[in-house]
Amino acid sequence: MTAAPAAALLQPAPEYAIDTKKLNLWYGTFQALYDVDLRIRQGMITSMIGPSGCGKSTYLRSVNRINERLGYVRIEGSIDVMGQNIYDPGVELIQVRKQVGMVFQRPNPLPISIRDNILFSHRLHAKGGGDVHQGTPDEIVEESLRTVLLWDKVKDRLKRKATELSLEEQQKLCIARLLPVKPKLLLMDEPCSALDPKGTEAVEELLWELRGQYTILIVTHNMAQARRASDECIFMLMGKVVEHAPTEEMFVTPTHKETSDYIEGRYG
Amino acid sequence: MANSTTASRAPMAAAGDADSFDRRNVDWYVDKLVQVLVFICGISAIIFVLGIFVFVTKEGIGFVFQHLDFKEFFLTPYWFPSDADDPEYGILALMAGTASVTGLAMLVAIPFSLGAAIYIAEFATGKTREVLKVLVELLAAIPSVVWGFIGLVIMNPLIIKWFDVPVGLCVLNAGIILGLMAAPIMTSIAEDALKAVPDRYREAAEAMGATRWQVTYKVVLPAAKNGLLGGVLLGVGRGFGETMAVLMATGHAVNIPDSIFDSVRALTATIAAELGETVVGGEHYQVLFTIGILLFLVTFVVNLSADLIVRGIRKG
Repeated sequence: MTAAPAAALLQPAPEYAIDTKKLNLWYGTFQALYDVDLRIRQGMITSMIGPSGCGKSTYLRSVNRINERLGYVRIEGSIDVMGQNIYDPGVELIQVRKQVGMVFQRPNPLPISIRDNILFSHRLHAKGGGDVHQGTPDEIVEESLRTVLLWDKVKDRLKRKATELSLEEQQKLCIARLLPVKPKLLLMDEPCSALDPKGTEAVEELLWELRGQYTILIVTHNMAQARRASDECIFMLMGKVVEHAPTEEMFVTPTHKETSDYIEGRYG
Repeated sequence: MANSTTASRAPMAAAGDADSFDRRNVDWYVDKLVQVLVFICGISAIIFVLGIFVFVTKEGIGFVFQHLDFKEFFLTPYWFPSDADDPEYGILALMAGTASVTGLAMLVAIPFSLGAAIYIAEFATGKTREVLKVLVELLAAIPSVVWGFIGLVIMNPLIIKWFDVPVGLCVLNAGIILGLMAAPIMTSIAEDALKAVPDRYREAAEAMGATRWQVTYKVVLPAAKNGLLGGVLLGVGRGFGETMAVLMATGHAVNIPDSIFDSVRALTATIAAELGETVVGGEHYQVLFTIGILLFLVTFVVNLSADLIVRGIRKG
């Protein structure tokens, strides 16, 4: 299943940011994930594709345990993030979510100012003495917004409500606000599906900027996006991982029939 | 609809009413009738409110124009309406009574109802939440005379015993009773306001590692503040207009209170207690209706602004 990618030359020591073992997940009585084994390489962009309901979002949402909000979710197996099983009974959810940032399908900046959005997470985690950005609030805001290429656009209206921004700017802000707490991993659940092609391009460029410094796992419906914007690609179907390979290999020479059928648009 | 389909299928049907385009069947008449009926029901609410306002104004306005001395009316605490020689109509003490009781009631009701609403909307899950919602609505339906009775026979002796005061019918008693009365409706509205905050805000904050309380405190409450304010204002309106419980629990003594253990009298209770003894159309009768106009205007303004504020949040 987890084909060892031969072309992963960019990282000298292949190290895994996420190591998933035998993950099974149920929503009530419905099983959404079956024995998922996945290793996600550190510092790279890995994309997940598959038809609706294949479990890719479910998997993503179990990597920062946001799935558990629903209350009727049951999980077996383990997910090691940076070598530590986040489903260990002793694990603090809050620390997991500091390490593992998430960007949602629909941009969801909080209904507070742009500045407060950037500082929200930092304020939550700075008290606990965790490893966060040590600068002053102004420095943090500027640096985070510069990283997502938003600073020049919004520097004069930091006190304005973040919900007044365009969708693309909102989505960039949602990425920027994760950075001050120095997450190891960024999860993105179809981050461009609410954006127009220009916004999509801008966010994809941003992903390449962030690549290396952060490990990025991105779920997408858009196969062309997976192809252009990721190092490795995972194809899921009916709650199972069908294929996991370097993106170029997967799109040029898929090893499974289901993968090639999906990529060629025969279903999904 | 049915007509036109039939007609289109058989355009060349034999002459006669059965297939003509302008045929109206029973359903058409029922539809028109129902439309008229619901329209009447819909506007009747407005007609009744206007009618009541016109009636109250008509009864009370004579006093306003003929005898009303604004200074005496609003700024003196002397309420001696049945003094044969020189009746005095100062409502300052009555206003102080209403204000003190309503104010204390809000001090009791706001923390209670806000806490209850936060628990129901943000923390409780599944069955607990459903049961609590039903219970809160049941509480809101308890008649005010029952609350007044509780004030009279339970709170009264308790206050006398605990605080060692001669009379337990006072601002404290009425304030607590009124606060408990207003809390359910305020809880309901506050809970609606919290529920109206989109869940993606909560999800976003939780995904950044906020605890439940941090999500509530930093995200949900600020986003819901208009709705919450609206709920508080409706509670104020309720407290302001409440009569029976206040009549029973305040002690009904014309008095500007120095402490929460003083007996007071509310504007509403004054009308309820005295209207039956007045001569219809007389000065005392008219002045009670003048108080009615005042109450009507205040509750109207309070409720209207509450409504506008709550609507504002729904739209925005």
